[in-house]
Amino acid sequence: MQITNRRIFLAFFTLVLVFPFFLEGSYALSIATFAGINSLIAIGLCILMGYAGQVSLGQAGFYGIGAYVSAILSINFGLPVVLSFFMAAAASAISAVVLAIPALRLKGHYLAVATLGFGEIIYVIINEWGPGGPSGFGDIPKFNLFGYVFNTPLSYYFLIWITLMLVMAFSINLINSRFGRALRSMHDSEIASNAMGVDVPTLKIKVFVLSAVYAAFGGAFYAHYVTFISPSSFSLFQSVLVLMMVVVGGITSLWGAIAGAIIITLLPEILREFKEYDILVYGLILISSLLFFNKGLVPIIIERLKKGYKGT
Amino acid sequence: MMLMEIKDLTVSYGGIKALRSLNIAFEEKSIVSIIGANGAGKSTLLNTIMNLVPAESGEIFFQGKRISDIKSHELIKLGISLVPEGRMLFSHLTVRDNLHLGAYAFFRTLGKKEVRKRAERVYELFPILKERRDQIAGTLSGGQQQMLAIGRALMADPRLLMLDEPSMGLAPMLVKDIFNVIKHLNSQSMSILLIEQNARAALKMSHYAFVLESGRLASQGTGASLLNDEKIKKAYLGG
Ligand SMILES: Nc1ncnc2c1ncn2[C@@H]1O[C@H](COP(=O)(O)OP(=O)(O)O)[C@@H](O)[C@H]1O
Ligand SMILES: [Mg+2]
Repeated sequence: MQITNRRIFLAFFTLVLVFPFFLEGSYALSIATFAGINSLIAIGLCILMGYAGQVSLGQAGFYGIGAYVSAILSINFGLPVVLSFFMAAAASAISAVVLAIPALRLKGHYLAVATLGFGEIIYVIINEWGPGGPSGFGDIPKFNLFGYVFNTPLSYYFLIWITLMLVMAFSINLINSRFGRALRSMHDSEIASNAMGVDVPTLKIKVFVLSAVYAAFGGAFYAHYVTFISPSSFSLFQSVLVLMMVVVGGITSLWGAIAGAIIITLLPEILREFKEYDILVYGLILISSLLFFNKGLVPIIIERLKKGYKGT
Repeated sequence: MMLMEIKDLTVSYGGIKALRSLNIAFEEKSIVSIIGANGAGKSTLLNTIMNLVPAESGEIFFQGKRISDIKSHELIKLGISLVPEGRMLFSHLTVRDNLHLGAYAFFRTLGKKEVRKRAERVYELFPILKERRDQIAGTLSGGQQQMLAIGRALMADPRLLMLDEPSMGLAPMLVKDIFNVIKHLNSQSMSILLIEQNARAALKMSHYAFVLESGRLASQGTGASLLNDEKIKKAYLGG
C-alpha cells in the first residue's frame, strides 16, 4: 500500500469503527450498514470500470445471484451461511464467465447494452422462478460465524465494515500489483497491452469475475441482514444506482467508490420529501455530477488538496 | 536461415484486401524497412505478424518456427516486439509503469531485479525518461512519448524490434535522434523492421527494403539499390 493510501486507510477506518458510539438508535446504524454493503458492490464496479475500462450496467444481476443463491441454499438445503456465501460467490463468478466470453469483443455502448441485458435476464429469472415470485420470500437466517449470530444492528455494522476494510486492503494492493498495472494498461490501449504480453481476453474475464464476486458478497450480506428479499431490489434501477455511486465518487478512485456509495445510500433519506419524484432527483444528481464534477468527488478533492499544499 | 519468412500472406478487413499474397523474407541482424504510400498495408503487415489482425491465408515463420497461430501475448516471449503506430502508450500510467509493462511477460522468469536492470538500460539510452520516470506518460512531449514507446518495447529485450512510423509528428532533430537510436540498437545485433514515411532516410540506413503498393509487393532490394532506382525515385523520393 502506498503511504498516502495507508494514511487515508487508517484515518477512514478508525472513523468507521468509532462512528457507532456517537449514534443513537438502530436506524442510523442500519443505513450505515447498507452504505457498507453498497460500497462493496461499488468497489467491484470501480475496479471493472475505472481501472479496467469495462462498462457494466448489470451489477444488480450479480448482486441478485449472490442474495438468492445464498438465501436459497441456507433455507432449502440447510447449508451453514458461511458456506452458502461462498457458493453464492461461485455461482456469480460462473455467471460472470458466461457473460464475459461473448462480451469480450464488445466495447463501450455495446458492452453496456449486453451487461444491461444480462441484468434483466437475471431479474426475469428470479421474478419468474425465484421463491415467492415477484413478492419474494423471507425467513432467511441471519449471518452467523462459529456459532455467533449477527442479529443486532451493531454487530452487523461491524461485520460489514470490517469485511469492507479487508476488501479495501486487498483491492488497493491488487490495483498496485502487476495485475492492476495490466488492468490499467488494457484501459489505455488494448492493442499495446496485448503486444506487451498481457493476455487481454483472459484478463477481461478475470476482472468481470472479480466484480461479480464482490457484488455477490454484497447480495449475500444483504439477504442475511434484511432476512427478506424480493426481485425489486435487484432491478435495473439497482444497477444504475451502483453506477451512480462509482461516477459520483470518482470512477478512478477506490475511495471514490466508498464515498459515492455512502452519498447515494444517504440520499433517499435526505430526499424523503420528494416522495415519488426521488428518481427524478437521482437523475438530476447524476447528470449534474457528470457535467460539473466529471472526475468525481474524491479525485477532485485530492486535486484541490494537492494544489493547496503547493500554494502554501 | 532467414530471421523472418512470410509466405503468400493475404489479409482482409471484411472483404477489403489490405495485403495480397505477400512474400517477404529477411536476414537476422539487419535493418529492414517497408515503404509505401498511405494505405499500402504497411501497418497491417506488422499487426498481422503480431497476430493483432488475423491472416486470411498464408504463413509466417520466425527463426524457422511457424508463428501464424501463436497468440499476440505469447509472441513477445519469442523475441518480437512492436512499437505500434501512434505509439499507443499507457497514457494514464507513469513512465516507470509503462516500462515495467513492457516486461510484463517476463516478470516471472526474470524477477524484479532484472526488470529494473532493463529499465536502467532504457534510461541510459533515453536519460530524459529517467528524469521523468514518475510523470504520467500522457503528459510527455511528442518526442519523449516516442522514446518511451521504444523503451517500452526494448524492455522485452527483443531479437526483432518492429517500429511503425516512429518519426511521425516529430521535429527533424528528434527524428535524427530516433534514427540514431535505431542504428545503435542494430549495431548491438538487434534486428529491425521499420516502417517509415520518410523513404529516403529509411533507405539510407536500411540494409534491405520492401516496397508495398496497394497490399502488393512492388519492389525489393538493398537500401542503396532502391535509392538509385528510377521508379522508386519518382514515386517515393520526390524525383
Ligand atoms: N481496422 C481496419 N478496418 C478496416 N480497414 C482497415 C483497417 N485498418 C486498415 N484498413 C485498411 O487497410 C488498408 C491498409 O491500411 P494500413 O495497413 O493501415 O496502411 P499503411 O500503414 O500502409 O498506411 C487501407 O486501405 C486501410 O483503409
Ligand atoms: Mg500505417
